Amino acid sequence: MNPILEIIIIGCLVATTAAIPGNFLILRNMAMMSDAISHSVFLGIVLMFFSIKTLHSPLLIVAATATGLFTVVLTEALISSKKMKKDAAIGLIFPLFFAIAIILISQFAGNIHLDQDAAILGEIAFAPFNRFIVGGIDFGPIGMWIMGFILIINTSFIWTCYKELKLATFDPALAASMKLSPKLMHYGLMFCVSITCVGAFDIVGSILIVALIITPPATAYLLTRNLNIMIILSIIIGCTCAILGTILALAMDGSISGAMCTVAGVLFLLAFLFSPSHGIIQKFYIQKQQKLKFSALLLTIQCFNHQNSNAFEYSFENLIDHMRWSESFAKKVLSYALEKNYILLKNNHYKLTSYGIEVAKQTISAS
Amino acid sequence: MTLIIDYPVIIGVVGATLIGITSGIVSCYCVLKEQSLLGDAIAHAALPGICIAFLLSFNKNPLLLFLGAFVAGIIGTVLINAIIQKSLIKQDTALGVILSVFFGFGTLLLTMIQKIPTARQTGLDTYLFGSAASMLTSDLMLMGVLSLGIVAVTLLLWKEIKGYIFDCNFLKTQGFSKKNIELTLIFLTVLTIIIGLQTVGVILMSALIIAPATGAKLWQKKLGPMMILSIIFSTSSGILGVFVSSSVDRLPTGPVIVTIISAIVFISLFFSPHGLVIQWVQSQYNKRSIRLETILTHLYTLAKTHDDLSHPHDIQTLTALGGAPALSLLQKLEKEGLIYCHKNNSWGLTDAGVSKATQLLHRES
Repeated sequence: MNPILEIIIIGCLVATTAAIPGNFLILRNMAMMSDAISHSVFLGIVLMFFSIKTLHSPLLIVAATATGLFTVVLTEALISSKKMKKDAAIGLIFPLFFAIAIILISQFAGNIHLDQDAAILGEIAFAPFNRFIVGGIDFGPIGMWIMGFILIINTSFIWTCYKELKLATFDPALAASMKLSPKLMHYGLMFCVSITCVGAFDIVGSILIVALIITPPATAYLLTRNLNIMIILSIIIGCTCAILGTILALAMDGSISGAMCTVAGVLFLLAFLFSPSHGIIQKFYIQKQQKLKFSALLLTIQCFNHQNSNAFEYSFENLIDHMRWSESFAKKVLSYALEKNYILLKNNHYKLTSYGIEVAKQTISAS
Repeated sequence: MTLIIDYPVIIGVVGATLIGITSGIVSCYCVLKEQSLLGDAIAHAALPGICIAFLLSFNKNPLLLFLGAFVAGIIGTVLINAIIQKSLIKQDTALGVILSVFFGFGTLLLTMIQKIPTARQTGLDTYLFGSAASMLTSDLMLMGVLSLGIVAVTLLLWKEIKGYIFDCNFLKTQGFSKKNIELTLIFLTVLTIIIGLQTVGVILMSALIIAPATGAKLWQKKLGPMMILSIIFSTSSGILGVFVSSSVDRLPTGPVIVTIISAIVFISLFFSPHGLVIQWVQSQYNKRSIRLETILTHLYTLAKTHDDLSHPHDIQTLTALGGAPALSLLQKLEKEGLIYCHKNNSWGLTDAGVSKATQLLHRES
């Protein structure tokens, strides 16, 4: 198979595997936990590597996943001791684990290939070189098989516990009262995150996997309020990152995983700005419209109350003087009111239409 | 392992001291404001700034790299705040997104820089793990000036900062601008992190923002002493870390410093006056004294049905009133002269015991 195609397939697998538990992490306000787990997993790999002296053993994955879960347990113990806040507890454990791992490597690893840079940055470009060969038959890159296996684990956990997870996420008290054990769901999810970080460790590295766990679901969260759609969207966004990222990296001759994160960031920014339901541009537009509409109603009331006053009250200057509107805004309001048929404009003086009087009366009585 | 004191070590010690002072101060703000993970995010977000500064200038002038990192850090923080305020996304998600995306972008740029032939090995990747040994006197000068600025701002704005941390609304009623103080603190935090990056690196910098104040908070509840203690913790672990890593071959400075400061936090967690050990001892003592008092009041209640208040009762009767008292507890009371042993397993109140029991019952009612 073409190595670039293989890279894209592995990238999509990683992105999908990461996005599935990522949705729940975000909804449960535990996004930073993935950062903590992905760093401490490193210690598990290093420790196991020193005891079995090889980087190609399933035991490595077991040990690393266990370290990830241990981090969660330790962090929660710190939080429940009430001696420190959640953020401090998260931020205390993982740098320590990571530091210990680096000290161990620097002292004992010697020339063995367990590179610090590789741990942090990862390099998906090397993934196609590690082949899965059984009896002389090439089954493709080994990373693809590992990620595929982890994807099955994650999907089956989320699939079987979907409604329990959903309930434990949105209403933990109700879930507990229905004996659905939010604690079990919590650790199940943490297990998924840990094993994802472990699997993706030598493919995209420990920090960039965080980008794939958090960013696509966060982008999806900006676009929808439905959990099913959110999960599907996050997978689509994740795969888009993988594909576009690979293309970008090839074009710029840089790190593929770095480019994937960059694309993820750009997609997030686009959703943040232009999301039809929650984007800030949309919000800005709605606010403008509301302000204009409200001002036009205010104008009708002003005219209605001053129906028999002097001519100045109907003039354009009055709006600037009494309503404290800027000239351009006053013009905008007038044209909006004209368009809505609230007022008529006669030689620089405006007058309420009968419809305008009706609107003014309605607005006054409504308030 | 021999202690070597030479030029790089002295430079390292001075650097570690400066970082210790600044991170000790800023740590207090971040931890008390419950924003300690912001440090982690800023440290990561600085990477693309460093790379862009290098790509634009093609030289490794520390001032330029500082500037790049600073601008990127500020942009990252502003973006995090914008995401939290303008959308429904929560703080931790916003932190995670900015942290990882900025770092990913930085990685992309870093790999591109490494492929430029003229760039040679720029040493930009020391920013990942930090290296106290690579610091130059010019780096120190810059760090010194910035640290001095941070200390000066803290002293000048002491009461405003205090107000901002503990009672924002009060601060506003006093006519101070919350926004300005918030911006000042973000400014200080970003500066501190950028100063520390070169020594401890991107990943471990967050520990220096979290650990000192977390440890200090367990000893001191007042901001002033807490901050001084926090500075002492981070400075001493910095200096110790430089010494240890310079005396052992191939030992990176950053991880050693982080391990030492984490050890300090864990020792504080268990053994400080507010720590877990003292708390456990206290709760055991409280439980014991409550059980002792219960025996006395129970014996008194039983004896009240007799004319003689010192009438002894079998231990079985006490069991019926709720749990058999342990023999050691009874013996302790006997030693204190509050009860006496009548026969085997039969105990009665002494005069002192009666007055103590009435005292206890009066306190309860």
